[in-house]
Amino acid sequence: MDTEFIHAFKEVLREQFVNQNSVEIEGLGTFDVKHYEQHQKRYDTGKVVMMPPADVVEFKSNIRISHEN
Amino acid sequence: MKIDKNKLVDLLVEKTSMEKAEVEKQLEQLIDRIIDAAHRGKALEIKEFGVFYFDDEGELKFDPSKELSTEISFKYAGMKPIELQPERDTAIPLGADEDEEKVPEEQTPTADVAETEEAEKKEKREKDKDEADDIFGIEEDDEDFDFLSDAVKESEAEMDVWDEVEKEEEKEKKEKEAKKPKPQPKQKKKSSAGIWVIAALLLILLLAGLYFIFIDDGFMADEPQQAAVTEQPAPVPDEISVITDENAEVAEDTEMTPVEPEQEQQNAVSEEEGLQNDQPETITQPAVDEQSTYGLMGSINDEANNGYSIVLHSFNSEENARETAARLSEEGYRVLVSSRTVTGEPVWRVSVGQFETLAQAQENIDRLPSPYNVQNFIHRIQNN
Repeated sequence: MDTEFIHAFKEVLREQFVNQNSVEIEGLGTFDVKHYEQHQKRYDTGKVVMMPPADVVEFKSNIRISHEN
Repeated sequence: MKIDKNKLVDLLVEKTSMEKAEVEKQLEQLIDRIIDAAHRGKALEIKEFGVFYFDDEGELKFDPSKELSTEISFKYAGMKPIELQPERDTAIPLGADEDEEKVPEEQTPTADVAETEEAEKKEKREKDKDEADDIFGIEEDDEDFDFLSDAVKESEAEMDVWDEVEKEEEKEKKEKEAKKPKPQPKQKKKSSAGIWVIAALLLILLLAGLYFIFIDDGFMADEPQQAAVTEQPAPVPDEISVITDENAEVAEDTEMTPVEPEQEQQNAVSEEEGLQNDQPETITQPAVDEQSTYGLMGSINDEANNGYSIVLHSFNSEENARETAARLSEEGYRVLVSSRTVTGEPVWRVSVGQFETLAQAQENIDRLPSPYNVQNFIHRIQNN
């Protein structure tokens, strides 16, 4: 596989993620960019914190491994 | 917007010098490799992108790399969780307050001590306000304050004696003599009287040191403040001289009470902390400039092209971009011109600075002139 291709692949996906676009690759899965608003969170220690907002990539795939073998 | 495989291939063709068929072939290869590796129980990592693997339930998963995550979430770079119920760090002040309260309770005539306390609290506040104020001036004020309040108390108690100054003076003397021994037993009560004396001496030295430091540093800068402070004690000595010299001795005694050193210690400590806190801040700012590899100003450093840059302009034509870049670099900025594809259109981005981290880039946005400091965004520098 070409390094040039890998490089371009990363770059294209990154650009699409930053533009909040989801990318669907057949035979692999779908990348989604999800936005999380700021929210409160309680740690086990009892500390309560306000988590900052964040944009996160989420990947979903229909491909499953079979445990039969 | 959703990008499907066909669109992705088109974008990849634009980005590379490859034919469409070649790109499709490569993409298939990549997908095969990811799934193959995953099937073999291995995780395939694409550097600076993420890891593909099968999780425990046999589902194909992708964990974005740190670089990818920060870049996607660049709007919120540097934001950290904020604690909503902080455990207050009041351990030291609380303990000191308790001590202050206990000491006067042991004694019967608390009014005097309470007033010195109030005065000292005022002093504390004043000190907090203008860090190292004229400490000695304020101390003198406290003493005067006590004598004045003593006089008032006496006059309230003995309204008839108002005309007879001599009697009043005698009473004053008596009262002060009565007060004199009180602070001394207090010292004896404390098992560590010697420690207090040493602490008091150390404090006086410390305060004297701070006083001189302040004079050296702040005489020029804070001249009005100093003037204001020195004015205060000036009228007061007249009132002291009306009262007898013994007052001065009493004043010294009260100064030695265990209550005061503690507070002063706190003040001194808080001042020191304040100074210490100030110092690193002043050091960190120039440190950013001193960095040779990364920075906002200067010339482009090729080694720094693995970081982030602040985009100020985006043009459709390369010519315009180069023109603007030339203008910006005349102003002393590190200017980068790069081409990207945004929604299928090629754009030329003019960006300034090379920064190792998003947070550094974010900090440097504040240094940009007016239109740029609000109209910008940060992108990752890419070598095409």
